[in-house]
Amino acid sequence: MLLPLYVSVKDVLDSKNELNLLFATRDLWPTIGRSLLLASLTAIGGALIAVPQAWFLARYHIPGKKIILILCILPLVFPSYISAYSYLAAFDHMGFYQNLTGMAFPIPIRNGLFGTWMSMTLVNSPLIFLMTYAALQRQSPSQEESARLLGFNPTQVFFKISLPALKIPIASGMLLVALYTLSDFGTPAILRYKTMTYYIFRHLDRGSFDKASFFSLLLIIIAFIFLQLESWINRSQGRITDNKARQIIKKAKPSKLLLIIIFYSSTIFMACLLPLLTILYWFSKGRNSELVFPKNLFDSSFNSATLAFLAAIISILFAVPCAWCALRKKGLFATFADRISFLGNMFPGLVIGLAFISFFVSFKLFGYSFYQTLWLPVLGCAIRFLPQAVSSVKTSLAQINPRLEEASLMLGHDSVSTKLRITAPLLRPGLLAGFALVFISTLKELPITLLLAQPGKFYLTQNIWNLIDEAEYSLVAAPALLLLGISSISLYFILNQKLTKSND
Amino acid sequence: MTKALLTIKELSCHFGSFCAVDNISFDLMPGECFALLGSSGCGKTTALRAIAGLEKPSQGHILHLDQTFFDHQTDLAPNLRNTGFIFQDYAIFPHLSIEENITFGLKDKSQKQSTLKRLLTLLGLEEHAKKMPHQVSGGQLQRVAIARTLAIKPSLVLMDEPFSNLDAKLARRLRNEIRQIFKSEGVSSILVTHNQEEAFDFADRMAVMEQGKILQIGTPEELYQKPKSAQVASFFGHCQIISGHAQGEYATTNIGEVPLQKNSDGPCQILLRPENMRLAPSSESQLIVKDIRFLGARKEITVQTPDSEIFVNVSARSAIKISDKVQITAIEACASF
Repeated sequence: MLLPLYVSVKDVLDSKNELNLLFATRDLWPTIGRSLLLASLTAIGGALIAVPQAWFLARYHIPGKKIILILCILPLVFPSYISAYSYLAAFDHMGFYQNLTGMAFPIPIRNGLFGTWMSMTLVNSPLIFLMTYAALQRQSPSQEESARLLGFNPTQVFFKISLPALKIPIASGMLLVALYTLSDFGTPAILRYKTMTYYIFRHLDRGSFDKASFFSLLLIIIAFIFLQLESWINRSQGRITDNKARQIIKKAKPSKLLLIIIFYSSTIFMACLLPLLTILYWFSKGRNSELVFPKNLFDSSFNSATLAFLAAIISILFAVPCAWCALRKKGLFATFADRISFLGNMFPGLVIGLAFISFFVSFKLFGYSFYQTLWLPVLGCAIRFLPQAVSSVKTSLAQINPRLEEASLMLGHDSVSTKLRITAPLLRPGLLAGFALVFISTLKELPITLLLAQPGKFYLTQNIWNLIDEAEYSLVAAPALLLLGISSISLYFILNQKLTKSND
Repeated sequence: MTKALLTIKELSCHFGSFCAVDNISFDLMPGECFALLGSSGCGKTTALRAIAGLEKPSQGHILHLDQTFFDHQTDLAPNLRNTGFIFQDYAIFPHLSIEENITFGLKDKSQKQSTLKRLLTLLGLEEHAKKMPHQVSGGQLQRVAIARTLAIKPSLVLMDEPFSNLDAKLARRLRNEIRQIFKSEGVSSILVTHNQEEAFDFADRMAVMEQGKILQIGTPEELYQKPKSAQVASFFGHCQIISGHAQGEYATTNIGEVPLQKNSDGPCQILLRPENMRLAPSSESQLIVKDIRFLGARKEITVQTPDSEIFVNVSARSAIKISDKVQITAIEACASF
């Protein structure tokens, strides 16, 4: 997992001269500035959407609560580049909006901060939503009640008690959103906003590895700072939480309820429905001209599924010992295993892809080169999504009482028989969930497949990418819908995990 | 003399530098019900887990008849010790039915049905055999745990706070039932508990533990009546300790002369049990009745002495009133330290 760090550092150190040139270019600091600006604006925008979403849903009687909850989280599982494409296909020149209204959308969606910001905000805000909503569910209403009894009005209570209590989940959600925004590659590339990831890809395309590595290292460093900050925030304040907290759910006045519903409808429309409608629109438009399915849709889907299957298997194989050590053992490796999601977030797909190319191009194991084989994308995705697998297995493992294994030993079963008869069956839900999550994430993974695909092999993501690049909006629709559909399944596992987590 | 079933000799367990069990020794006779009593964190559970093989001792011997469970060169795996263990949370396998839980440890498949039937009847679980663990109550889960353990025909059953998750009434009933089953099956057992009533109720003999050490071993009567130290005494019943000056068989205290169990001289601490004293009205006494509580079968009276308060049990019909002047006499010889 530390390979990307090693490779970036090495490449950067190996090419000091080239870098001097890079430092001399005018665009270095503006690029970093644009990335950070985008990240912070996205975090703020995400919070502005997600916090009220979570607050109203947790505290008010709202019709269709379950569906709203699901729709609020759904954009999280959409591949960001598909969302980006859908906004492009909706608002760009000759897009859905223009075809529908006859007017051009007032703000250009491409070549600027706005489009990328909007897309990233809508896709990532569910992260903040999830954290805030979980925190709200854990919060005991008695704090707010005693504040009311001490003479504060509801507005004062909100600002003095409720909001400060949500400070930590909101802040750590915002940091994660900023981090995901920084490391996302598809959106800025499609909507043409020149961030660091945009340049990494551009430099790679032109074959200048050292420049790409430099940005890659920079990305790792910023990610590390963000993650350190996040874990520091989480540790900085002890929480008093009541797991079986009563919930007070208020009835809103009709006028307020109307506002709340308008708020939900508009945010959900923008984040979920609009992308779907746009894609469907282009899909139907394509049917008239009989150009709906790209030629190699079947082949590329099959390739993607094979890749995803192998990556998921390998991920799970690594995840089981990692989860086991993190929960049951002490020592250096256990600490490492416990921090694995931290490391996973530190190395975005683009960075892993880049590192793999530059490492495996010359690396041989017993004379066998992995370069340009299926193993590269498989390993890349397995490592990239290992944290997801570990977290699923850990959730399941944490629920297995170690006494059960001891009881089996005391009944005369040795440790192998115990693992087979007790641990394995109880771990199965976690293994399945982990497998499914890695499988789906790999299907969606753009940069790794883009960078590491063997020559002549096409993956679903590449297919979509090329079609978007060629502005074949209606051709993209079918594979995009397919991917959206599959991605939505992972929501089930994410919700399951989040719910069990907030229960224990 | 019969041979001990289990011999624990100079057993210690360390967690890092923390000494959880500190050099304890005791024997367990065949068929005996033994209890380890102590407050939480005293090392009793660790000792039990060490006997089971779930925790590795740092030194000592554990001998089971002629078999060595643990010494400086042997550490028999827990699955080879043929020892039953009842966990505080029962540890019933959630993915197996009650029936499958009970037969889980059975190696000999031919006896499966007959053993299952016998145990289901013995513990009154017949109607629950096909159910899953989440469909039965806590008390029934406890019975499943007992049945599951008895199925492997252990000579020794270890129990870690097995009744602490049950309500008091059910716990008492189950305790008596289990004791009877163990006695009729000839199974020895060690019960770990923090509840002295439970230990008294269950054990033929018991040990009191504190900070990893065994303070005293004996029958419940011995420990109650002849505690070797104030620490042991404080585990049982209402323990009030006053200071006095011993002169042979008696000690002078500020409630008068008190007979002692063993002769001694010099300053001493004396254990007074509420039921071990009588009250009599006495106009010259400096002891005054401060409070009276009616408890049904008896009354508990708080007597104000010059430097403390003493509780004395009297008959429910006693006519003593608040503010009466009284004299206290000890009926039996008292333990002194």
